[in-house]
Amino acid sequence: MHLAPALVLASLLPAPPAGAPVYLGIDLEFGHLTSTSDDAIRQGAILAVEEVNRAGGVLGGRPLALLERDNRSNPARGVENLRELAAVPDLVAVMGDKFSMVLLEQLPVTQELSVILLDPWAAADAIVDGKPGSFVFRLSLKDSWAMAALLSEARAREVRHVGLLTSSNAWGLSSEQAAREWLGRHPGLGLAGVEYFSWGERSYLDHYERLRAAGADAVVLVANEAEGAILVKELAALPKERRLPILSHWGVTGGDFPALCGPALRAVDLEVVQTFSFAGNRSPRALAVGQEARRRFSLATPEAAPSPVGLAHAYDLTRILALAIDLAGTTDRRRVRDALEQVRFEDGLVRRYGRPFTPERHEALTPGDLFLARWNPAGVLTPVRRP
Amino acid sequence: MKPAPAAPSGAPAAAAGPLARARAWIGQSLDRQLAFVTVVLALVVLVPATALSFTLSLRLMERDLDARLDAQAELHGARIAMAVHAARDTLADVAASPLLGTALVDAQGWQHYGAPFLRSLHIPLPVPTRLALCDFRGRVIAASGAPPTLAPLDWVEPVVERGEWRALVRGEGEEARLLLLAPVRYAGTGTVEGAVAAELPLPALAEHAFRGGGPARLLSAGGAILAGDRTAWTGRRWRELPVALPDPFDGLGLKIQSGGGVGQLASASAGLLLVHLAVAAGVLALGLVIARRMALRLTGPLVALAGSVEAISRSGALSTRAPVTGHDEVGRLAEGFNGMLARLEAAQAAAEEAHRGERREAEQALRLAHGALERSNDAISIDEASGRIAYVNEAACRLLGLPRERLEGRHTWEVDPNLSRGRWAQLWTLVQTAGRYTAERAVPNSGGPPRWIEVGVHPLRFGEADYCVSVMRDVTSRREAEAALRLAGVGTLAAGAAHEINNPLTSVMGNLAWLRQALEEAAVGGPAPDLGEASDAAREAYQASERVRDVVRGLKDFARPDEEPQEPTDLAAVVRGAVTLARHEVRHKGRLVERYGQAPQVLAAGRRLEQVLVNLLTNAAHALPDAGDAGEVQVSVGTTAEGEAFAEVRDNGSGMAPEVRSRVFEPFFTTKPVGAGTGLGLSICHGIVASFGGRIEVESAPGSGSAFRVVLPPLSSYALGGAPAAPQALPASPAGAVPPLPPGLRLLVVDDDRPVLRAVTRALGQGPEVVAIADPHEALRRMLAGERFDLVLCDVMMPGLSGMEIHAALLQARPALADRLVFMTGGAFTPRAREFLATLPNPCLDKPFEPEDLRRAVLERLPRMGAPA
Repeated sequence: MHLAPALVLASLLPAPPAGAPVYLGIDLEFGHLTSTSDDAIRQGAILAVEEVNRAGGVLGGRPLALLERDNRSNPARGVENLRELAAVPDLVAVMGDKFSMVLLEQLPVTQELSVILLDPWAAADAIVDGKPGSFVFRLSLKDSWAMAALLSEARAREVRHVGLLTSSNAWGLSSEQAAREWLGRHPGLGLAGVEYFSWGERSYLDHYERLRAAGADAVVLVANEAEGAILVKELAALPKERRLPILSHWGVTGGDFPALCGPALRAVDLEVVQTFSFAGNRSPRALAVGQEARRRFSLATPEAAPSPVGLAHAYDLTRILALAIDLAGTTDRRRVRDALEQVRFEDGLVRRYGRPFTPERHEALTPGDLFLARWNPAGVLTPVRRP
Repeated sequence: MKPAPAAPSGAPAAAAGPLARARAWIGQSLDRQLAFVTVVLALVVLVPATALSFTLSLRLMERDLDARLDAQAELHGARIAMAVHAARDTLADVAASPLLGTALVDAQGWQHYGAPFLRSLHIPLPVPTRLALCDFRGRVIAASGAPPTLAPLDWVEPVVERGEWRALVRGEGEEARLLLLAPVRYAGTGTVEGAVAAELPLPALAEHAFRGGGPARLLSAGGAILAGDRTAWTGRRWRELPVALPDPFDGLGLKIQSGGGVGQLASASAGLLLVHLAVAAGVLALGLVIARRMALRLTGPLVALAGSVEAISRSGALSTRAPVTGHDEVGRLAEGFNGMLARLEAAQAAAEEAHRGERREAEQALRLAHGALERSNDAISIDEASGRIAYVNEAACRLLGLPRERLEGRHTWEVDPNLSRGRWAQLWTLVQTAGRYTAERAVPNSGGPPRWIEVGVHPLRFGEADYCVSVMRDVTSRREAEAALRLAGVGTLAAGAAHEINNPLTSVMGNLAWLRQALEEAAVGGPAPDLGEASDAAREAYQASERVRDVVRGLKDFARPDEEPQEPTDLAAVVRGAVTLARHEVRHKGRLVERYGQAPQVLAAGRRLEQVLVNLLTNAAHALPDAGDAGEVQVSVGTTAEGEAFAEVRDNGSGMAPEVRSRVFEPFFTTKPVGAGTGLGLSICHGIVASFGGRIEVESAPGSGSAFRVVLPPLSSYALGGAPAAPQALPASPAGAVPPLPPGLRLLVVDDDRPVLRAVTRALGQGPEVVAIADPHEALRRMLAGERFDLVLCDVMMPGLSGMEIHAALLQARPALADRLVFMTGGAFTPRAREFLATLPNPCLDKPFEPEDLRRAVLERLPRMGAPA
């Protein structure tokens, strides 16, 4: 009989949380047509919340609950959503999306309303400004780290000139600035040129060809999945000798990039910077969360989850927040913010953190957490090497 | 033209007024009338024509101006539409730019690429246009220059949420502007995440659109002036057209008003009016001149002809001829006139000749008629409705014993004492409605007995006036003959009556004598008479008395005076009366058969008609053979097929030969032996019946008897209204016993005839107290003394004091007792007595009467009187 062990196991489990929920807001680009990062972040948060609640919740038994908002990646909507969520009682923090433009617009409001903004993806350096008392906490890479990793990879490949193909928005500008600074510190790798594009353009071949004409041996791409997929298809259509290697910021992993690109993806030499992958990840936490994710979200394999960094970052951030709430012993956001700078979290999905945040450091990850990855023929993003 | 004749002097001319004077002046000559008609015609044609032409011209001017204004408004509207069209295309291009979509989600990067983009935009519009990008809440993210005012943000919901385009009018006056808004889609989500706005200043747009045109303005859908001329367009003609904005702004409802110059149309229309008036005046003047010349040409010969005609009419000289001026209508008129004059001249001569002949004949006829009238033995008078005598002939003068000059011109009632003004009016009405009136009347005769005149009056309509023609004939001789006949009849009757009375009187006397003797013997102790036999004797005496009474009543009726008026009469009643009188004549010769059918009332004098029938019955009896019992006289009454009443006396006697029958109505013609008849009977009968408007028809043949039929027109044919009410009479004795009078009554009986007095007293019975007085003076004295009587039974004809005088005295002194008089009469022999009895309400008992009749009269009178007087 399995009844007795089951009863024993049940008696060992903490009682299900009761009482008023403690809220975590998630403000994501649910309306975005090609994004999968929103789903990944939401799944990570859900897995973490359910795990926390299975463990008895927060503040001695109050459930942790999610409040979702769709900002359609529109900063103006993101700001309104943030204001709405901030007005909800017992809401302690809001988790943002992958769009740096949205978070950059939300920054003043977080400070104004004393609402904690958790950043699981957006990479603009300026989001975390290092000022004391900031309510923004990031568990992600940032553009300067990504540019450093990509340019280091280029240099390792003995590329002499890179061309920078970047969107004309704040993210692109931030990346350009980081690249120029890195290149300025590392002679030997030249910048053939910078090409800006606007979202929604139908073709990027002209930009690409201008960079190639300028002498670029490789292209550093700062783009999201939709623009990246167009470029990949256009490159695949070119003769092989005209296809330059693409070293890509991780924006292209914000959607189902293999699906968007189709077979063209295999014709192009494209590597992308990442911080986490289920593929080949043997850590007990990764295995446990991967299994749970597969079960919970009906995935074929944990590796099949698109945008895995979003899931992993959101999971860890939520876990850290729960700990901080308990540490603070209240839902008061100022005290939770303070607790976030003190809390310890060892058993993370991405890494072992120790103290993820300190008053001086609101970045949970480090440049050393980055690696390059490539989609294998099965469409699974697989780590390749650390730069 | 002829000068206007001097107006008649005095008030009438002043009262006629200038209009009438003008009409008179115009009417004096043809050329004036022609000129007047020409002017009127010209005015009638010219005024509406000028008004019509002016109105049409004005309408054309207005239409032309409206067309120009419409064209101007259309041009202005097209310019505005083109500007909006260009703005719309610019907006569409800008909104479709990926840069804009990116900018919506990248505020920080915007400054890097967005502002230069906006600045670089060339906006192909003729007016300064501001562009702006706004977020999904309508907040301006970026603008090409100074940001436009987008509030109120009512456009956000349709533009951002529903993705629609919007065109709005904002602000007023110099600040009025057109705001065009287009949705901006973000490629990442495919949703509208903001809007791009273009703001066009409406004053500048209107200035651009209205350039080079007249006054114009741009109006909102609600009619508010958005741009352009804001002054009041009083006196200005203007048109309004909608501005056809390109899709999707076509629902904005902008309108263009395009105005003409102030007073432009008014001055143009004034000039137009002047031209029309001038042309109309010119046409009128020209028409007048032409009309005048034509009038003179037309009327010249006419005036000459008129002069000739006037001269002829003044002189009456039909031999004069009018001048013939040509061969036109006037010339033919003159020729025709001359021809007519010639025919008139000839006709006049012929007519004068014929007239002279006719007049001669008429005068001869008139003289003949007048001579006949004058020589007529009948007096003829022609009277007017007023009663004035218009004409009398010589015989009338003789008849009336007055010269013509004292008759003609006077009124009828001044000549005829039987007439009064009122009686004349009645007579006039009777004659005019009945068609005739016939009467006989006595007229005074100076120095002799009154003359009897038979008057036949007939209506005569002569020209427009109504007259009565009275034909009067002296019938005194005939009346005397009638009287002789009547006397002869009376003689015959008296003989018959004596026979009729003697027989019953024999029974009366015999029975009474026996009864007296038996009672006297019983009174002196003799044997009591057998009561049954005494009763039989008394009853037989009484029955014989009744026969005497009937005979006497018939004789009394026959003796009525002759001046009895014609009145509605029941022919059957008259025949019954005649049969009563003549029965004894017939009875000795044969049977008398009476047949009474329905007959209408007739207008006749009943007693005279009765006299006629007595005569016919007597003649019929005489016609029967003396021996044998086959003789029969049939009397019948009925109605002819024509609705006339008839009474027929038919015998089966010897009949008449035709030569005799044709002469039976001739006076003094008789078939009786000398001394057996006067020969006047049937002649008088004929005259009497004719005086009632009737006739006597004779049917006879030798051996088969004769039939004389009196035919009278029915009363209804006189159209005199309803028949007069029948004279009031006491009801006949009803069957059944009358109860004895109750005790306690006090009755006075006054009669100079003592046996009557006693008989009445006895008849009143033992109940009442009866005071019987033979002296009327004594009776009146006691009544005036206040003696109480419940009722007074009073004889009418009493020597010294009549019942009428008693009634008059009581009416003065004791009117209540006058009402309690009941008269008794053996015959009211004077007209005054008959009139007296007819007018009083008091009842009258005709002697002889039955005791029951007496008691009934008392009983019927008493309850009406109440307490005794």
